Amino acid sequence: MTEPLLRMSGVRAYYDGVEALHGIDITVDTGEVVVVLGANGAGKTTTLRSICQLTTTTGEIRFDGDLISGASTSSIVRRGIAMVPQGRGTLGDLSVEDNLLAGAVTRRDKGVAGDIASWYETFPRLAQRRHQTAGSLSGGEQQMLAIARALMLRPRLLLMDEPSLGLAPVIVRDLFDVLARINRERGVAIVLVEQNAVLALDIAQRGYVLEAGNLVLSASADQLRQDDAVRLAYLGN
Amino acid sequence: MGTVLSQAVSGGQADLDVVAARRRRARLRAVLVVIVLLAAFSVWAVIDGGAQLYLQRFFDGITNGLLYGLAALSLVIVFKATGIINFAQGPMAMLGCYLALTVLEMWPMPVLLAIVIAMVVSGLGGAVLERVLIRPFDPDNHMAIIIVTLALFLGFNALAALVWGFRPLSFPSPFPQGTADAIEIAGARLSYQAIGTALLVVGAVVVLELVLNRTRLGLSFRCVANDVANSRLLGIDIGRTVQFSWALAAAVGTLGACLIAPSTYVDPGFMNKILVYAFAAATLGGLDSIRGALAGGLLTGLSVSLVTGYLPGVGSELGLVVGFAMIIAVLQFKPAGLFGNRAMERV
Repeated sequence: MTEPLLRMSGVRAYYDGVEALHGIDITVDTGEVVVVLGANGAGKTTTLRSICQLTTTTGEIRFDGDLISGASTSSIVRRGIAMVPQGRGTLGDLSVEDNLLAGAVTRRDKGVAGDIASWYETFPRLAQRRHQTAGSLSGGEQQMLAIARALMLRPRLLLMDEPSLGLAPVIVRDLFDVLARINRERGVAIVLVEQNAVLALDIAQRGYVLEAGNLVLSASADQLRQDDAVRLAYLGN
Repeated sequence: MGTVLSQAVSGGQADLDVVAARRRRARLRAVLVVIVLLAAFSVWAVIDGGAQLYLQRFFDGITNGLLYGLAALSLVIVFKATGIINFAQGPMAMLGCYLALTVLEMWPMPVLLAIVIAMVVSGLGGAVLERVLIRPFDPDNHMAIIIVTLALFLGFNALAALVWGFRPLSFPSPFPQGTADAIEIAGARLSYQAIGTALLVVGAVVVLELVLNRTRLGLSFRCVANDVANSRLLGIDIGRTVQFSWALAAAVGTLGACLIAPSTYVDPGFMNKILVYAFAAATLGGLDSIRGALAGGLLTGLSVSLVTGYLPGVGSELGLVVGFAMIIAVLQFKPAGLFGNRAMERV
């Protein structure tokens, strides 16, 4: 078996010395969409923050075979892991165009202008508002900008934290179409933390269920959809 | 993809536009109040003392104001990146000024070149200072860092006294400074020195805007100024960006000190008074706005020049009182300043 793109082994995470993750093992293969389910406070966001080393962790995290636990967030991002945090993570005072440029601020190649043009093609709404500040965009537009900005990094792994939060249902459906298409066309692996389990499982191949900082279930998306406990807790039937 | 989205997302747009419009109106109203106050004072001043005297005070106020604005800029640059007011900025600029003087003494060269050399050296010094004395502290522990800058304030004053002594030195102007080197407008004198200084300040601000808006480091700086946590997720090295802001502020501060020095003198404490005016300018402009700092500087310069020039009993030595009064008034009535965003966002 080849080495997965991301491998977390026995990862524990701490906030001010209090353990929030109690040793979890997660793998993500190249080009795969993996969903992380769990109740509020189960440690979903902490899992994503651990990957980017935004919290203190112990245990081993490897990206593409290289040890990244203990590295700085900026060096991890430069390796090709982009995260869209809860609340979008766009820079409200900067224009839409500057946000996209900022997404590529660590890149040294000549393709940045071309990438921005292609995102404007994908989201014409962003092109119209390119000189407006990101803070003046609506929630849906900001989420689109956040995704485009994250992909300006040309990452191999995209971490999405609750992208549907605060968006109208029709926009959420569209958002997941976009994510599925990014995964299919660009081969970007995605780790998706999401309350909307129905839609998330639709585009995911595999999933994990977290409970109070422990991993309680790891299965394919189909198996998760059939699982009684998951159906009861996250699918509402 | 994205088509349904494009049509559906405009729902919350109206509210945001309303908020933005209200903010613009509040800003306009505040600026108008200040302008009306200044205009009313000016009308009284012209009636009281004649147009020529008023014009002279006006020119003095604008020239000083631009320099206060430049000094305020060096405070604003660091504040934007870190949320910290660098109390050592005045003494840092003073050291830069001494440096230019020393360079001039050792190697004869044009004054402007000596100023540029001093700016580069102070920039490097600012970067080292950040790395050695500021970065080791938790960036969220503002109190600790502010106390470090206060310690630097005292330390630098003592250092300058040790190296250069307390004797006031004169600083050569990069522009002709004779009594004849001036143009006359309606009887008021506008010296070449004032015009040249004003052009240099404007040039420096244009260069600064270009650096911040057109370079990779400038973009990183604007990201960090906006949101540190999210900047980290962009792969930006926060420490190096903050270091860049210290270097930039130190260079701008040195330029300001070298342009102020010809009309005062250089001694270890000569920038401390200017620092008060810079604080007034920066708070008036709203601490996190570059254009605001410049506008705040102009308003401070004008107010100090007019108030000390016309109000009986407020002599020129009471200029500092005017500066402090402005700081207190702004913090009381408009804590975000005229152009700032920070405090308004919390409302």
